[in-house]
Amino acid sequence: MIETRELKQEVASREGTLAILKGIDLAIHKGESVAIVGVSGSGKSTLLGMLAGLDRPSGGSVWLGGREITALDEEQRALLRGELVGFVFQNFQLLPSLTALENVMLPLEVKSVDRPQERAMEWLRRVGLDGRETHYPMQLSGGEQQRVAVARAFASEAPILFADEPTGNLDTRTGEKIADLLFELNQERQTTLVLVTHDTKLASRCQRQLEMEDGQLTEVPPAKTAHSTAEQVRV
Amino acid sequence: MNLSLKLLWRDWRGGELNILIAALLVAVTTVTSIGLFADRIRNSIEDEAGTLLAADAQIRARNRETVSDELRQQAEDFGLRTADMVTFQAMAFGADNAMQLSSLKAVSNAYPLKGEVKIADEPFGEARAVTEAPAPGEAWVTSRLFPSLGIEVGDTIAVGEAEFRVGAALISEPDNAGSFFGVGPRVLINTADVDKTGAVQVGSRVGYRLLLAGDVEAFRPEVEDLMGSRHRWVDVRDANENITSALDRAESFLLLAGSLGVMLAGVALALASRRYASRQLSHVALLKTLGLTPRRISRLYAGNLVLLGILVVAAGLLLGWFLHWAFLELAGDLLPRELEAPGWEPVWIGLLTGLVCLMAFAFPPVWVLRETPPSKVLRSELEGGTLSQGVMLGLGAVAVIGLVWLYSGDVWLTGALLGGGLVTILGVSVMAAVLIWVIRRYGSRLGTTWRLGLANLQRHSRQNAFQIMVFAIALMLLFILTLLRSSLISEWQQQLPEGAPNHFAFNIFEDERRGFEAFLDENNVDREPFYPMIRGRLVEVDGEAMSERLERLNPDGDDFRRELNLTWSDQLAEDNAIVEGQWWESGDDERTLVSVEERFARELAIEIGDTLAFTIGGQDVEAEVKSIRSVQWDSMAPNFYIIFSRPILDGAGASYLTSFYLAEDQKPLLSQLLRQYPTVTLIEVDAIINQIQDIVGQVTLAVEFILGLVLVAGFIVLLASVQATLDVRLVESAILRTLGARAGLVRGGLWIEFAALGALAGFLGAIGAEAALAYFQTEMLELAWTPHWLLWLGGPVLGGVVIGAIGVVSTRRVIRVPPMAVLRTV
Repeated sequence: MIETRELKQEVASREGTLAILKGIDLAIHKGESVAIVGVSGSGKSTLLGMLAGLDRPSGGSVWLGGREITALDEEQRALLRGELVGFVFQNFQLLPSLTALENVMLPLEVKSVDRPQERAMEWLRRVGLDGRETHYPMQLSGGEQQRVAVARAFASEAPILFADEPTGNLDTRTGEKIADLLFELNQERQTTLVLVTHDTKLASRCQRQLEMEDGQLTEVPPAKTAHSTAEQVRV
Repeated sequence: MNLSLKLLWRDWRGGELNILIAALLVAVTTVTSIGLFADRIRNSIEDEAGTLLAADAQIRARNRETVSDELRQQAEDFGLRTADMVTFQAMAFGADNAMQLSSLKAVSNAYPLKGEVKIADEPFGEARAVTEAPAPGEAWVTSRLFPSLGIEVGDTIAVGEAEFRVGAALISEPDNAGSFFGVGPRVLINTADVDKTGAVQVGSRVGYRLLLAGDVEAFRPEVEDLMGSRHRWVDVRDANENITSALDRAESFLLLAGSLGVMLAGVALALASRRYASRQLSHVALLKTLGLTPRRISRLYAGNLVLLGILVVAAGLLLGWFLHWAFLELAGDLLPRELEAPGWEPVWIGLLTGLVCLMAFAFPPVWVLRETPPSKVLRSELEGGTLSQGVMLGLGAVAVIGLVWLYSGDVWLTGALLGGGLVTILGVSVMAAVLIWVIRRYGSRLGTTWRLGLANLQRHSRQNAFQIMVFAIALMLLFILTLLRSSLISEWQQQLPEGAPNHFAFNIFEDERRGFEAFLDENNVDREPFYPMIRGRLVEVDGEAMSERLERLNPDGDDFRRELNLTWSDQLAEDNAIVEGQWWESGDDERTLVSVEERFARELAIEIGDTLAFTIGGQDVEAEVKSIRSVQWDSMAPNFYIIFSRPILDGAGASYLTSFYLAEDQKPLLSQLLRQYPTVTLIEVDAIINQIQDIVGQVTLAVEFILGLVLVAGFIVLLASVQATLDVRLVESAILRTLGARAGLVRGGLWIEFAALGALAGFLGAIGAEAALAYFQTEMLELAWTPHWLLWLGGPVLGGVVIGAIGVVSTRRVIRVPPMAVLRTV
């Protein structure tokens, strides 16, 4: 589903060229859940951006759903994203001028899906926010905002879901609830989930864990993961 | 509803579009209503001024010939209204063989084409207005002729061989301006009776005129050839110099104000669009992650702008029309009831302004949104998708130049504004940075609130320098307009102050002079000095005969071979000024010297030292030109083309002339005066003074109205500029308040920051305004320039208070919104 070959990202700085990604080879299969962990600044989010086609690498290639997105221009990449990809962000990224319902409707409207309002309402219900559909992001708590974001991500029915620190801005309890929701829906929809986090507990709920360190990605052996069974994911 | 419309609707509902809409609305409204209003007021002022000619234009035949029938026919074919006028001198006879040389004016039935004739049932009686000529066989006679001819309304007078029934006392004619002197008391008759009088024969002094009303501007080029040198075209502007200068200045002012209005609105729109676009950046990034392609992003936002543009421009056009209409309603008493309808041009210009502003100011920052990297959703610090200030300024400058040029049609004005603008932008940027540094350096010893406010100023110094530039330009434009308006209006009012002389008396003989003077003084009448006057002709300039000189220099100009009124004086009158040469001194006794009026000297190419030869009372008199003078013809004081340094022919045959002011309740004095001095000629000019004052009143009103509109545009600029920094301030204030700062401290800091910005901008604006005023006042409006000391003090104070207040009021959210709510959205 997702594949990279010799993926490199370098930026020019005053001290010379800084390599953020140093030739990463990666393959993620359909329906897999993968956590990318690592310390702050290790390049996790950069990698996520590359995998999702939000950014172009300095070298190497990225394949998404069987197509090489590094060979596409922004126009084509955007179309591919609309087709394949959903996102959940650390800072939610809800549009402040839209209500909760309208935020969920947005990807449906972008894809010109039928009856976007009904579908969006259904998804808000699924994340436990019925009755809050006319509220604006400012009127919602952090947890509620992230629920809206999750609803938005799944509403587009994309086969791949990227989540960048989805619980990073939330307290532990709320974070856990969001994680539960995320994995539950992921399981139900059989989406491929790529999750960036430095929360080992959250990472351990994924089938695979990859650690980012000094621009290199290494697979964390299953032995090191505390709770890696699919049963425990479904709490 | 498609996505584009939904987003537009949601942005509007969320208040994202408020300033953008306001700026575009103000741009279109200002330009449209200024255009409509100026168009209407100009039409109606010209219309009003047209009453001074009793027509929109006159074609005057030269050399005592009649106006060609072909011209009349062409005018009628062109759809103009026409009337005929014949003027000549003839003796009028009343009761008991009393007689008086009178100035006859015969008019056809359509007279007057503009304005009204005022008549009364008894001399000096209550006037009523009519818009028709006397019927054949009837004469309307000037009030002052009644005592000298010993007649009453209903009696008969004889003019030449014809007899007329006196139908009414003539109080005023619309077109009695022009040359007051040498005009005998007026008798108005119908053109049908001219031949009957037998007074018009070969060699008689007679003038024929064709009066025209309608679209005379368009007609004139059609008949230019046909008129040839036999006819002279006279329109409102030729006919009355004082009104011409007021009109020209008012037009220049309106043009300038309109252009500045366009500039201000453009700046406001640019700022608002930039803010709108920068707030859309994260939206665009998100939309891109949701699969929206750059092309669709562009289509989406461009579509939104076009739709918004159409709606707002339409609303602006309507609002502009409504505003100008509402103003005309409110100012109903001051304006003539029947205003000329405005043309379509202002609407087109409004429409075009809206579209150009949209394309040049609003479109570019929105267009580049497509460049926003989608990875901005992961790293908000990423740049891209915004337009650089340089590109924005460049595009804006091109648009502003285009619009001002379109609006004014004046390359020089456009160039002056462009040059001024560039110098201001450069100068202000440098000075703003320096001033911010100085204030920060020395102002920080003043306590926490001050330190906070001034630190803010320094922290955003680049952004603030830009903001000061915007404020300074807005304030500069407002200062310029406000001060120009004041100097224009006071100039106009000085021209014809209350109590300006409204009566002329001439043909006062030496033995009557003291008595006449005493009569006026006893009755507390304000009067000008008595000037001696003698009539004579200028026959040679430096040995060249006048007829040859006129033919050589200016065959189509004024015929200065006519009799001139000459005077002599030791002293230069207050409203005269020497422009070349010198006024005479005591040592100049040896020769006869003259001072010549500027325009007269120019048309006849008379220079200092030339010898002028006159025929006066059958005798030849020679004099040397000692000086050339400018004369304020509209002061209503007696003025002359030629002034001699000593009594002409030792004063023999001279009469005296003066002017004085009579209030309405002093009018009965006129009858007494005329009975006591029956040979003195009196001319009432109240009517023309009132007309001029009305016109000046209207022009003043127009100027005030337009200033008001431009002030609104300026206010929107300030608001847009402050709003542009609101997001940053919200975050900063949230952080400060999180750290425990009281609301008072934050508010105080904002006050100081904005007031300091405003004061700096006010100071820089004052410098710019003073420089620009020097140009506009002297070059464009031909007024004298004086430094505006108050501006230097008032500019910074006003800037500080106004911008401080706008800043604090429009950022009040900074204090009201809970810090958490702000920080959560970051």
